[in-house]
Amino acid sequence: MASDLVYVYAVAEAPVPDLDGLTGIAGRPVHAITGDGAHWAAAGQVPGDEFGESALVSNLEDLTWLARTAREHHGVVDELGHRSVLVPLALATVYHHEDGVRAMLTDRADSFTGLFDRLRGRAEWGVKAFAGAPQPQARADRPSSGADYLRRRRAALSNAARDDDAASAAAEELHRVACDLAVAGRRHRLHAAELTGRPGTMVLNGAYLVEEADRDGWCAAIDAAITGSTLTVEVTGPWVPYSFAGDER
Amino acid sequence: MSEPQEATLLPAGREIALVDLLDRLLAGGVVLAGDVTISLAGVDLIRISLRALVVSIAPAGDGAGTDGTGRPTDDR
Repeated sequence: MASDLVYVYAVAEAPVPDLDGLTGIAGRPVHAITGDGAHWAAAGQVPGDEFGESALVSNLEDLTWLARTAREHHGVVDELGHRSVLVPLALATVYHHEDGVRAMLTDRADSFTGLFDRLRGRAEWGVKAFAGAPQPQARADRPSSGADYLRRRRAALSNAARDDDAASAAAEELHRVACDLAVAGRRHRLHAAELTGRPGTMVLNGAYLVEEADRDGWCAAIDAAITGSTLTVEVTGPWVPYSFAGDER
Repeated sequence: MSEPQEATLLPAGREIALVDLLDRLLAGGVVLAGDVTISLAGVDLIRISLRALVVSIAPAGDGAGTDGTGRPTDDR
């Protein structure tokens, strides 16, 4: 049986009171680790046989494990995000001992200070946009000849390409509007249809860092931009600013 | 202490989509060189979800089609 490891969820600007009862991965309690400065890491013990290096590599490829761990990680980060300015850490940030976490807090103090300044009073919002589902063919009659079939096929492909171009342009415009009132914006990878379970193609998967004070204006701008649009748009948030807490990867 | 204002970061009762969460957890957050260093860059949700599908349709109990870790034996 491998010994327990220390899992770090996030770094907070200042101590967060009342952690009693807050549990994270594997139902283990979340506790504070402090370094030399005021910064404060939210951490918990995790089983070494799940979070050791070789176990992690295979566990990350197990959808059930990944889903559970992601939700438990998020549960802690989201809860603490209500109570403090927070820098979320990447999934599966693991140390052997608390001493390693203390050293990290001290070594990275300046970098965390910069991130707290960047994230304070701001939240992340997501905008996902999907092109409309392909129009069903209006003509149900059979092609009269091979040439007729090819002509119809070319026309269908050409229409589809035009629809794709229009959807891409609309997505670009939506991203521009979303960035306009945001402090920062970035795009996550587009989801393949297997992941979305939707008929339309995903054309935008954006994340935007928005000032709390600009929240209503930002939402109104998005609403205005999508009124009458052919895109299907879904806004998520506010999120703890995961997408703006690290290097752009 | 009074109740925190704006306490719902995400609307209560609405479960966030796993894929939206994983977008953020796999491509966001500060990356530190912890003692256990793994890269999240290679985590491919499509591949994982297809594997999960393979596992879920394999006959229960005998682990057919997988090597016991949920990975198809014929993978690459």
